Amino acid sequence: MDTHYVPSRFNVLSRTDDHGMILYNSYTGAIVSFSEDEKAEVMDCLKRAGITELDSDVKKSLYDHGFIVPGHVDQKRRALFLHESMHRTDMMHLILLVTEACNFRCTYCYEKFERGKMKPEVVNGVKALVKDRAGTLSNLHISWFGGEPLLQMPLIEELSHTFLSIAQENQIQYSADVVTNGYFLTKETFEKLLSWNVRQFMVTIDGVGKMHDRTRHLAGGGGTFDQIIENLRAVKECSADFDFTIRVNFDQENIKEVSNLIACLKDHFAHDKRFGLFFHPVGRWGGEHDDELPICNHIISNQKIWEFTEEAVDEGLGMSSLISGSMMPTASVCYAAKPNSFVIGADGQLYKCTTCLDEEINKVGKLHEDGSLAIDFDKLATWVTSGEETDSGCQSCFFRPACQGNHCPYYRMLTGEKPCPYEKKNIRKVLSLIWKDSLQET
Amino acid sequence: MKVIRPAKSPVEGRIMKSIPGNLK
Repeated sequence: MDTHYVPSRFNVLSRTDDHGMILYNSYTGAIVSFSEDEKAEVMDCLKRAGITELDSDVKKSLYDHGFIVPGHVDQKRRALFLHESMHRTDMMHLILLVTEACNFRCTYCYEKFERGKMKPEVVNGVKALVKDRAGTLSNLHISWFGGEPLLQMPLIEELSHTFLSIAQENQIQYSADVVTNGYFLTKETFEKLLSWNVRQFMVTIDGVGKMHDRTRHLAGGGGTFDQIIENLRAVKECSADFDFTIRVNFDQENIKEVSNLIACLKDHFAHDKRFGLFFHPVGRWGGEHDDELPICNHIISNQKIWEFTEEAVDEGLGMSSLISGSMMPTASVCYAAKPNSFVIGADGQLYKCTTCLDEEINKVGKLHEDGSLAIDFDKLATWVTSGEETDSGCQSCFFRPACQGNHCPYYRMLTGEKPCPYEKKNIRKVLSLIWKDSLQET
Repeated sequence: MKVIRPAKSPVEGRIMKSIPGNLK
């Protein structure tokens, strides 16, 4: 055989605690671990000189998962084609602000709560838009967002029935997620959402009791921790399969008590793979209290995300699926940079980004009641074409297929810096944690 | 050798809100 196989430019390898190794490829998304006995052969195959024969199980596996590729392959062109495939029109992702009101007033929140429930003509417009596109869609994903989306359950129900019906009639794969503060997520509400194809949930808990209530309290100032924990314990009793991320935002004040929270969550959710934790540093995200927030510096932030994640994994709590999920090809590209994704405001305003609703560059168009979209394509292009195509560093990066230089286009606009994801910055640590997390499944 | 996650065909939505720093 004349074929010559060389290592992929999108590989990352890391050590495992049992003296083996774990390999990841950002173009195929594959993650494979190898034992100490197999390590020497793997390392031999990954030398720049490459190999000529796939004459062992290890070599075949390296090829099948994309860790070695035929020498004639233009890997940068593969990444470019992947980037251009983001423009496929058979997929649509809508982030619906069913209400822009919220019963919480979180200290770091960037929203203004100026507009309430989605207007009837906008609801009609959303239905008409999906119906209009149905003939050409293979995949429709809805994110229920706000504000606090569960304040408008009747609207979620009405739209869900429409989407489910259109999806069934047109053989469209329909999926949905919800980002909620968890206060209204009773078991009854949760089961309704499940029946409407919502399978991915995110609720944020910042500490135990008053430590959580410090940052995530009701608009009137009341605590929310007890209600959220009561709801989540009831949700856990459901026998259904779902994917629940418990997000923890940390700053200088709660950082010393995150361990208490992990211990508390362990009592309720350990060894239930439907639940996973996602740690994130609080930032100045555009809210009215930004200047007073006790944020951690970026060095501490980078370090603590993975320290806390490891502590959680060691206690039998899973990592959020968001983490390994974000390492799939295209999966770290922000929705704001995807051509087929729009945020639809309660008044029909179209946005790309959910964090800066008042910025003119973010007001990219309007949804009309007949489902037509009036789009400012110059603004849209700014969000969609400011990633890898503008940055030679991103073009050469091992993580390029996953994020395409577009993990946060708004961050790049504001700072001029590469918006590298936390997963990429600590990729070897993340891989070792994924390996450790995978041991709990066997 | 353990396949934790198999290769997918790359070319073949979800909210992943993870702002990588301060916006101010």
